[in-house]
Amino acid sequence: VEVALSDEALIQALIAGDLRAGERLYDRLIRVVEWTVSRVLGRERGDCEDIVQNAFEQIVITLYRDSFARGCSLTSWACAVTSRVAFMELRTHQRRTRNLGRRVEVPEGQLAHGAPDAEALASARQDLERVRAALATLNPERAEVLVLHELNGLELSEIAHTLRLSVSAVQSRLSRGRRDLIERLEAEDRGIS
Amino acid sequence: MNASNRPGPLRALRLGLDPVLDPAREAARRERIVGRIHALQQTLPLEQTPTKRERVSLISRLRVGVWATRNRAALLAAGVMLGCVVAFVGWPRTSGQLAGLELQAGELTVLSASGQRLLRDAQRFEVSNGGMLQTAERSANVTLPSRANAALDPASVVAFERVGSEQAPAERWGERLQLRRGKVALKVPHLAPRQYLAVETSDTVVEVHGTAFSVQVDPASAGEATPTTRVSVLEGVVSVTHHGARTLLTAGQSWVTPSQPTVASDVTPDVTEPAPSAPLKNTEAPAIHPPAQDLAEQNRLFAAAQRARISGQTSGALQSFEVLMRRFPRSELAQNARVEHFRLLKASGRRAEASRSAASYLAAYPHGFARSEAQALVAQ
Repeated sequence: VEVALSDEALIQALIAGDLRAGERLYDRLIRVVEWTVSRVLGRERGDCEDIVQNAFEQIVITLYRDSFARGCSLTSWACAVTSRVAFMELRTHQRRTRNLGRRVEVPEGQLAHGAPDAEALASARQDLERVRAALATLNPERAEVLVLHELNGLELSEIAHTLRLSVSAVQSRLSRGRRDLIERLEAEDRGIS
Repeated sequence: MNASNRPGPLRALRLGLDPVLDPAREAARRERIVGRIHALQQTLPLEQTPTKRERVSLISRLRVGVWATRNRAALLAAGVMLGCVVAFVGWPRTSGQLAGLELQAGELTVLSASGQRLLRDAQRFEVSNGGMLQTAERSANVTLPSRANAALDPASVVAFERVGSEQAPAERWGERLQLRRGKVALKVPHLAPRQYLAVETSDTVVEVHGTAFSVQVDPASAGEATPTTRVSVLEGVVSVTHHGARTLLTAGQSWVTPSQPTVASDVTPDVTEPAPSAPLKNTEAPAIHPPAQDLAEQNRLFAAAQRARISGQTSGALQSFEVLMRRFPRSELAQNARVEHFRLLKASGRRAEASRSAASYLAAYPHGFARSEAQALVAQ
């Protein structure tokens, strides 16, 4: 039975070159990294696995550069790093799609939580894509806080520690992010109707 | 449905699509990403980029320096003077400059302060002073600004640096490659009188004028303080300086640390003309060198041991670790294999054997990363 290492001990072992620490880091963070990537980008995309790997590379590089804010858990911090990587990819993807002048095609895939019929499935997919497209146009700092709080369920104080901000700054970004997102979706609705 | 009536625009994302991955793909992904983390563990310590704190401190100092100069007229005058100097002598070519290199064949990762780039096949690229050139599974053939051709073996790391200035009279100038790991073979054209090209390891400098040679560095093994450097000359003359003592090697000769310089005219040098996309041979002259390390075999053994360990095949895992330790005692993976060996024995309840294995690890790596863990095991 392996003894659970503290975040700090795990980071020290990783940097000291202990290869087992690399495995442990993966096992500790894969769920949160995968969750964040799949929520921001969607698992329907073929390159999700590459983004997961990019996120891990960014996490390890940042740990070596001693940029991990010790005030929060490694998992919360990894979540923030991953959301940044995923957002960058989302914005690039949306820009590319716009330039190509076509909508994102969502292939047939697994459905979450069992859609009752094909119409509901199509509607759910459409909603997902619209929200992702709107997220990609948000101010990155607001979008980041929105995702960390709304999707990953982090408390405001935890986000504040992770991003090295005050709680009030996080609260401000969150409320503005929500407002901007709703405005963008409403504007799109008006455009459609 | 109007957006404002939605239960929450992010609800769709929260529910989203379930991340379901079949076990086979999950295992393959784990192996791929963990392998990438291991590769970063091997290479990142070599990259000496400033930490965030250092960067912030540097930026603060710069800001203080600029704003402390309150006399704007003086700043303006300094700017005008700098402009005149640049216009007159041209933009300085040294100190912080980017050097243009060209990847002829193979695969290369370039690490510099601005980030990391993976290059494949024929590509030009720029690297700042001190930037790292690193190969993984493939070799790489690179043309340096001096037109010298450097062929890096797989799993090699080299820092590139330009030194001196061509325009400064009586000053030597040229290129320096700091070989951190692996092997590099060079084919050097005739250089200008004050121009030079050198390959450095932690304790040895190899300097040339128009020749073909290779330098290889093996990690320090148990009981050795420094890595072993090997030099082989194919053409021309090479000077090797080790702890202040200079030795000249001519074609067909080779030299190894820490033993005395060895002249071996009957040795066939292991350097080969750098050939595009052809992995370099890593064979050694049997009279002088220990058996060649086979990096792929080391990786294969370690991966096999890890797979066996994860799937609960303890004896298979132990066996693979032991083979790796026995066959490649100087390998960078040897320390990890020893650590995994005593950890596995401990986890399987074989306390006495685990203690012996830990003691053996401590003897080989008294300052190893798992020393406290090993000491605790031995004490038990």
